This record gives sequence, C-alpha cells and structure tokens, in this order.
Amino acid sequence: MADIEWIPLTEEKPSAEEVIFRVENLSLFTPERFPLLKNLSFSIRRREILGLAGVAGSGQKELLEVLSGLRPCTSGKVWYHNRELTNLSPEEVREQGIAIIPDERQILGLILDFKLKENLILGQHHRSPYCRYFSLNHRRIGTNAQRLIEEFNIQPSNPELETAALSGGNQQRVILARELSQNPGLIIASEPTRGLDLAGRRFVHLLLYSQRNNGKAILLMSSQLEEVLELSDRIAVLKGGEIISILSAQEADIDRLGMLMITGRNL
Amino acid sequence: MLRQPKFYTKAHGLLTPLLAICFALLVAIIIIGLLGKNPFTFLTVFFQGAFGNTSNLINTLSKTIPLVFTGLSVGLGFRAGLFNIGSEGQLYMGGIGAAYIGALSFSFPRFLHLPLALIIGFALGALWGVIPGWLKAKKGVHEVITTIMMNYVAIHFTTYLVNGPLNAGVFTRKTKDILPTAWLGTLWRSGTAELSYGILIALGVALSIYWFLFYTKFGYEVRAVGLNPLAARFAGVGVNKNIVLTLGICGGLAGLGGAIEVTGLHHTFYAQFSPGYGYDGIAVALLAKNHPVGIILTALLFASLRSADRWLQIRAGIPKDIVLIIQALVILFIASEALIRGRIIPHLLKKKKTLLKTEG
Repeated sequence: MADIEWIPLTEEKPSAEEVIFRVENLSLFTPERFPLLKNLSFSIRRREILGLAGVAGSGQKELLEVLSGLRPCTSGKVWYHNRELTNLSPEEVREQGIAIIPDERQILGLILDFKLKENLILGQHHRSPYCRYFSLNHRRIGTNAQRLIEEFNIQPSNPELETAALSGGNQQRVILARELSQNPGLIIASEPTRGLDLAGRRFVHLLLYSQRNNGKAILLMSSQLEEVLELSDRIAVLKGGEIISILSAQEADIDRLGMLMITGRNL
Repeated sequence: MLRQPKFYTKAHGLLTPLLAICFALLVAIIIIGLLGKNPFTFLTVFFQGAFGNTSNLINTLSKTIPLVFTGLSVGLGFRAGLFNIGSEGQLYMGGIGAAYIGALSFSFPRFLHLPLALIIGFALGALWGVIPGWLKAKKGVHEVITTIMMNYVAIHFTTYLVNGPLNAGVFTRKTKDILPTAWLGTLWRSGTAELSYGILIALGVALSIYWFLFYTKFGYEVRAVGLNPLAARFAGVGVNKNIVLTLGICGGLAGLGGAIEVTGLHHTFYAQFSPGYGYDGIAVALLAKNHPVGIILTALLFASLRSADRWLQIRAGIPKDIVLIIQALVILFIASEALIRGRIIPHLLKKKKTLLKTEG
C-alpha cells in the first residue's frame, strides 16, 4: 500500500449549473408520527461532494434507507437528473445508475457466502455482459472479477473464494469496486471508511475524490469530521433528523462543525 | 494469505453428510447389537434387500424417483431461504391432475397425451406452491404454516375427489385407470418389478435445477435472496417476486413427481398413495445440503432404506422400524453440524490455546 502517494486535491470547481441530485422537503415519520427526518432539502451538483456531518443516529441511516428505496418517505420529493425517484423500489433506483455504498457492509453490502466474483456483480447480474437472456456468462463474470481485483488491489485475489474469508477492509474494496464499476452518475456513500486502517482510508478518500473529478455527484455521510472536512465541497450538518446548516468548505472547521452537530448553534 | 485448493472446499461439503451417515449407521449397529441381533448380518441383509437382485434394485430405483422430486422441491426452497414443507400436498395435486388428464377419453396421440398429463401435474403442484408464496410475499404469512396446512387441504381434497366425482367404481379407493396413451413406459422390467422412464426424467430435472441455480440469473437471485435477503433487496433484487417464483417452481417439481408416480407406476390415483415422500424430501434435501446432484444420491440412499425394510424384518428378524431410526439419526447428525462447528470445535481450539499459554 506504500505506492499510494499523496495526490494533491485539484482545484477544479464544482459545476455551477448542473444539479444532478435534488432532495426537496423530505420527511419521514414513524407510524406513531414520531419524526425521523424533518424537511430535508439539499442538492448536489456535478463534480461536487456534499458531506453530511452529524452525530451517529441523527437520521443518516433513515436517509440512506429512503434514498436507496428500502423505505418509503412520508412526504417530499427526490429528483435525479430530471427524473423523480421518490419512493421507487430498490430495483428502480438501481436501474438509474446510482451507486450506493452502505455503512453495514456485511448486512446490506455483501452476501458473505457468495464467491468473490459473484459479489462483484451483485445488482448488475441481470445486465448485459454478465447475463444474456437469462443465462449467466461465467467467462465475463470471471474476467470482470480479475479486472476489479487487480484494479482495487483486493486480497486474497482468488475470485472463487468465499467473501466471508476476506478482511473488513478488503470487503469494503469489493463493495467499492462493484459500485463504482457500473460508472454511476451519483454515488451515495455512508461511512465508507468505517473500520479501515489508515492506508485503506486513504485509498477510499482518493477513490472518491477522483470520482468527483470525473464529474460524479457524491453524497458522503460520515460521522468522522476529519473525513467530511477533507473531502467535501459543501457540508450539511444533520442534527435530530434535520439539516440545521449548510456550510461551504471554506467556512467550515472542526470546532464550528462540532458545535453545530452537538448544540445546533453556530460559533 | 488464504488459498485453499479447490478440491478441499469441494470435499469439505461432502464431509458432513458422509460423517452423518457413518455415525447414524454406527448408532444403528449398536442398537441392533443391544436387541441381541448380529449387527453384521444387518449390513449384508440391508444391501441384499436394496440392491441384491434385479427386482430389489428396480424397487429401490423406483422409490428413488418421487424422492428426487420432493427432495429438489424442498431443497430449492431452502436455497431461497424458504421452508417448503408442502411437497406432500403438491405431490398429491400433481398426481390427481395427471390422473384426471390421463383418464380423459379423447383419442389423444401419445406424444400429446403424456406431456399434457405431466404439464397439468406440474401446473397444479405449482399452484399449490404459488398460493403460500403469494401469501408470504403480500401478507407476510409464514410459509411453514401455510404449506403444512395446504398439505391437509390437498390430501383431503384428493381423497374427496377419489371417493366422489372421480371414483372408478363402488368399493374402490382410486380414480379411473389412465389410458395407455398417457403411460410413461417401462425402462427396465424384472418379474413384477418395473422401472419407468421417470428415473431419466428425475435425473434430467435434477441436472436442470443445478443449471438453473448456478448458471441463470434467476438461480443467482434465488441464492442471493436465500443467503442474505437484505443485501439482495438493497442491490435491487425483487425479493417478493423471487419468493413467489421459487415456491411456484418448488410446488411444480413435487407436482411433477406426483404426476410421474401416477403415469409411470400406479396408472391410477390411489387415495393417500404417498407414504410420506413429501416429508422424506425434507431429509433428502437436508442430507444433500440442498445440492441438486447430491439430492439424487441421498434420494437413492433413503429409497434403499425404504425398500430394504421388509427384507430386514423377514430375513434378519430386525424390526423394520430400524430404518426410521437410521433416517432420524442422519437428520439429527446433519442438524448438529452447526453445533459441532460453532461450539465444539472452537471449544476444543480454545482449550488447546490455554494449554499452550500455561506451558509457555
């Protein structure tokens, strides 16, 4: 991992007009009318990382569930390019070319008893190079696995191995490889570096940043402030299911964010 | 770095079933010894009764056919994380469907009549699987409850049909004989023992289920849903669609098994003809670890136990219930795999470690 060098973060600005992803007044209530998400509104532009900072349990999990289609929201709208995504099923959301990196990699992200090569096509298994009509093309699945294992330096590199045999960091690489290989327009990443060592964390950061520079829109949810501060172009602060402030990267620092996250007041 | 040779992982899957069979036979031998019989005559008589002469061999193979189908029916369900306990009822529905079509006295040509009977058998069985599947997908009703209840509906419904509308004549408990154009035909005959072409269909279907599971996107989704339904749903696999589809195919497989029993063996539908093939299918699937090719072998094993039981009783004086004891023991040992792997092996390893620590 020593060959990962420090790549200076480029100064390319986010595209000014092109809003790729927009959430309008999104709310989610429990059946007992207890609010989990309150009137969330934000938008992400092309070539932009929007960081979502917040103490764990401020609604990140619920937001991920709503955006990925696992759970319908109570009110509000979600737009991707000019298509409305509100309360679509996970199949329909994934059909739009949205990559989602879940925080619970062993529960939501991977099927641990699947072979490595099988996990590397999960969600794309029904699409064209891997599947023709209904029969799987094992040769293409194998070459895809070889390519991604090399590109993302997944260890051990045997595509026939059960995914459960991999370390947490390598499992995370499997998810990243799979999600980013479909060339998505939007990446929703929740705690992408949880449980990784320093090298793994650096790897993920560089990856997300190069994706940003390639023109993707990225929603980064993380409870690690350093990560949010280092990567984001703008930072939204989530507290109690509400966005209480959206700061630009220049005006945000660790004290200010911490104060907002915990007390809800600006310094 | 973890690099296991391929044959090791493959052999590892075979290890538990083989150990379970060995342990079950061992315990059975002890029980026979306690009964005061010679345990070694048990083994020889068992092999004679199951494979010893052609008519015994044909009987064994003939009993294998329905067990392959019910085993596949249960095993495919397990692959999708579903407990299809309803194979028995699905078998009955398939049987009655085939018996009804087979007895229709239009002058069907053979190449039309037989496939139609089998297809209707498959379809009725599939219907008996789709209903619990739909209830689970839409209403969240657990399939164990519904499939078990559907068994009783099917058994009593077919018994009613046999005694009522489809009755062959007073004082019989069967439907009208099916016409020879719907007979499956005999592959191997010896004396009164007959083996129908159903055995070839069973092998073909088992291999197709293998292909379905590992070489099609549907099989990929079925396995994904069975291993981690949350991740499957998150990645865009329609879980509910897969539940209905899988239970439908499960039901269809058992229904086809019933149709083949009727068209290949009985040539009529006897009320309550199955000696519990559907429930034995659970054991067949468990022992094979839900692998379609393994199911062929375990179906053969259970069929040989079933067909040898009378010989054991007559030739060796061993109560034929020993067969049920062996079956139960096999399941018990298979079920304790998790215990041995999860508790006993780690416990032993821990002990070794602490020993090493105190020594060091």
